[in-house]
Amino acid sequence: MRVRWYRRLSVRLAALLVVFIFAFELVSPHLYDAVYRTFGLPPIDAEVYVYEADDEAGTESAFFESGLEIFDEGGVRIADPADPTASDESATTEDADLVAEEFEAEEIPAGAFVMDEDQVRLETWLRWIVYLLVPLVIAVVFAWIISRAVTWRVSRLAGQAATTQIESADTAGALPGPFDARGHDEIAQLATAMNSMRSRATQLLDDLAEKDNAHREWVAQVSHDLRTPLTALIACMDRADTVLAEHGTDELRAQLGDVLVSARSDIDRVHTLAEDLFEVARLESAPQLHREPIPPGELLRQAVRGLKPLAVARGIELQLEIASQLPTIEGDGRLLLRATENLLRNALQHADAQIVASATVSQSSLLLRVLDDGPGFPTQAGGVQPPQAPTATTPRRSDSAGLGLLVAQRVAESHDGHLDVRNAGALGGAQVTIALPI
Amino acid sequence: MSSTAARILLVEDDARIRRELLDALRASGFVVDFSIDYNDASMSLQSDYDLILLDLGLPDGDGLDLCRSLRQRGREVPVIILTARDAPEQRVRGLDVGADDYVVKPFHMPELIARIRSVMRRSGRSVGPGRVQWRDLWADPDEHKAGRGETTFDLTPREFELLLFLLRFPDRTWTRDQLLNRVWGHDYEGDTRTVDLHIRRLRAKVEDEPSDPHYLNTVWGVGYRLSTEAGDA
Repeated sequence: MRVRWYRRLSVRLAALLVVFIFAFELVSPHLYDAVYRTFGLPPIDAEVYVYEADDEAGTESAFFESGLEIFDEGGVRIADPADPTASDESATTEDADLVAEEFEAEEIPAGAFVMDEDQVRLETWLRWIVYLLVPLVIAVVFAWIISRAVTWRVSRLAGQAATTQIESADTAGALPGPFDARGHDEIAQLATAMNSMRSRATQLLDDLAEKDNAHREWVAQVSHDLRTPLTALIACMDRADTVLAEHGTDELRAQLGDVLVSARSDIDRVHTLAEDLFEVARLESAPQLHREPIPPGELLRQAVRGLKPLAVARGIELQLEIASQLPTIEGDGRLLLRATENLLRNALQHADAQIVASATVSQSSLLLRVLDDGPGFPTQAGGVQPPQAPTATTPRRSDSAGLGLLVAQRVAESHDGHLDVRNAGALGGAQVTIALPI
Repeated sequence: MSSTAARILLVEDDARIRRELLDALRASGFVVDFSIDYNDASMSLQSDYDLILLDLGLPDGDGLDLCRSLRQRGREVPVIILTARDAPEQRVRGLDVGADDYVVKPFHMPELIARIRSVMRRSGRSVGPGRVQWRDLWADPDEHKAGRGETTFDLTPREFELLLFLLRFPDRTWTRDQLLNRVWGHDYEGDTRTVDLHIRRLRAKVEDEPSDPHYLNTVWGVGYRLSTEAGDA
């Protein structure tokens, strides 16, 4: 994140001005003092007289060349310095007098500094450099440093706040920070305040995660605890069957037979639900995969074999299509078997007459797919909704809570794959696919 | 079996399941005693039983410890674990401490009784040297040959050992570690993938359709077993 440009600019301009004045007042005179002698220039506070010798001489020589005699203000004739008739001595003396007289006319005080025009030009440049350029450079550099010193920490704070380490597993790592709170100024206070906010947020998130995990464990425990009463219930049903078979009259058998059969199928459904609930809770809290080599064909055949009796009972034809040369994958066989069975169970609930289960390879994925000829999934805008934890608004197929497909999805995801749910395929019903990376 | 009634010790803390199991087992002709917790079971195990049905989640201890201590004392009595814990590591642990089989709750009574009979059949049978046969599969350690019906397989020595071992304990689930220890030996420095590899090779020779095995079945998350039916409860 960047600090607003005008904020940075105003800080810089203010710093620029202040530093410029300081440099102008403190640095430049000393600097000038240090360098003026090098160029043979007068000190800064010296009185300076400019001797414009070239022009004067030029004018005079022009006069002499024209053959005219020229006189100074005192009426003394000025001799031509180039005239060979004039004696050397007198000429020299007169030259010296001339210079003295000219300057006398301007009243040069004692100790005054006389410069020629080259020196004047040099001095002008030097003054520009020393009094403007040098302070400006110093001001720019310092202004930049100062404004960075002020805005750098703010922008670093902002940068830290914007950075989220998504990779991090723990809650504290998922939050931005911690912020650098060194120093005692406002920015350090801000950083300290943000740090304490962060630790409170971490605490809250941890609490939430802990509650969520406790909740999942509780669900896992409850569904697990259901097994004991289910065992007893199944044992009761077994005994009822035995008693009915051994001691029941035909009439009683006719009456109770169907009741027992439907009671058994209900128990099976409760059992399946409890198992799915358990698996979802476990997969969402602490998925532990027991990887082993899995030939996909064997897995799918086993799943189909297990559900064949149900298919036969419902009069549904269950076809199996297994591609040749399928690669063996590494995965949790028990979970993948359960996921595949759930696909089949789901199809068995909704198919009219036909189900096709297939194992194929597409690109770099193994596809375990189940097609049915039922009514398909209810569609919404954007197609079929993927399975999700059941809520009041989750679309689902009639009487099912969609728990079975949710398990399949979680299993696929725990294997770095995904579950694809759609209405498509040759049979015109639902098509559910577990795609696993090979 | 029913003529000389087998004695079973049922260790189960849940009263309802215990009652149902007692009724069903007695109805099937077994003589059944029961223990309601770990200490009670330890006391009961002073006497001899033909089989122990062991619930793992006991109020005062873990059934696995009971099984382990039995084996450590050299007791060979067959143990079937009844468990609501169906996580693969639980099953593997159960088998690794010396249980003969496990049944996951909830189970159907006929299935449990079938398992009991199967385990007892195995335990009563000699597993010494000599030709073994199971269904149409056979292996002859003297001639170092194995086959199915009239055909003889072309097996490597290790494949033969593995098949012979499984043939001696049909219907019994073995973990990969157990197979590695029993077939390859305790000092074998291999990894369990060796077992997977040999099972795959063996399937290619034994099965009609290696990708749809009818003899050498995978018990997902646990290991392998030679059985007519794939999977388990």
